[in-house]
Amino acid sequence: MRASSVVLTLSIALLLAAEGASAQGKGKVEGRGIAPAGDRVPVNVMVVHTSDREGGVDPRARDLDRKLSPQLRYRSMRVLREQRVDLRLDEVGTVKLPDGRVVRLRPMHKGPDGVLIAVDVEGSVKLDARAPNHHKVVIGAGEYEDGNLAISIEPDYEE
Amino acid sequence: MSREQQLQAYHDGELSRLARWRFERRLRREPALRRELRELARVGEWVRAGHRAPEPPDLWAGIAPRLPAADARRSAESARGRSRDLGWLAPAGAMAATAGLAVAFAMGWLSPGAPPGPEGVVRWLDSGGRDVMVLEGAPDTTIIWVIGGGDAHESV
Repeated sequence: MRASSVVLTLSIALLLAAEGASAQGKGKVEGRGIAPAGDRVPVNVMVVHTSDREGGVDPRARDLDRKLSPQLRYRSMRVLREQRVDLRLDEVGTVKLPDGRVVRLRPMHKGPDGVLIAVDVEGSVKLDARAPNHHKVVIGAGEYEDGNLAISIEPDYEE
Repeated sequence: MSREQQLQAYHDGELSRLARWRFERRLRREPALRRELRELARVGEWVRAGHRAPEPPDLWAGIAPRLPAADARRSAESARGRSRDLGWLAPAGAMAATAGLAVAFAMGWLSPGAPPGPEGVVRWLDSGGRDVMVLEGAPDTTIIWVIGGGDAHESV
């Protein structure tokens, strides 16, 4: 009885050790952030709410406001979510919108002319953009409360 | 590891045998997780397919002469209740949007490079048949705006 317990314990220990070695060999189960810097594509994502109501511009969105205000008409802009999504090539990142939908991002290729990134705004639009570093891709994600939701996606990586 | 990280790792075949077995057990029990996995697999697939396809013919040349007609139709539609959507555009944006709208009307989607040209930021776009405008006025910003034409909250 005692011998079988010892055998069982040893078997479990060996199994766990083998699993650990296998995971370490792949280096990704716990180390999904280990990929070389060149393969990483950090993306700054900002979700804003724009409205015709007075309310000014959220200080965090001043840069975005400078880019959007010549093209789009609104009176106030407030930041609902700010997130830096650090992705490897081909990895899918997810950002939740305040209305429950999700935005999925997948960098497909990185080259001298920027990042080719696939974006899926659930229930709204799917697109493929080649965005140079620090180029903002702003996507209207539909009406929300008394205004509109907009998502700014900006690759921000070391060159 | 978070749920998203686990999903991604499973999708990429990076989980250890034991972790994979555990995850597959969860998959069998949770339909929502299976759905998320399917969605994950689909992101970017249409992009790959689009990039493998041969270059489409230059449709822009055929569309450009029809712009005034499209513009007129746009005005009529605006009068029928879409003014709220377009009212969101500042005058500069409204001018630039015309081309994007025209293409969206004609094709329902934007082929790679149209209408901003092959050097444009937006290479492929599917708005599910909704009207869409692409503004590439500013040098370091591209705006993509879907204009009404359906329930923006429905799942795809």
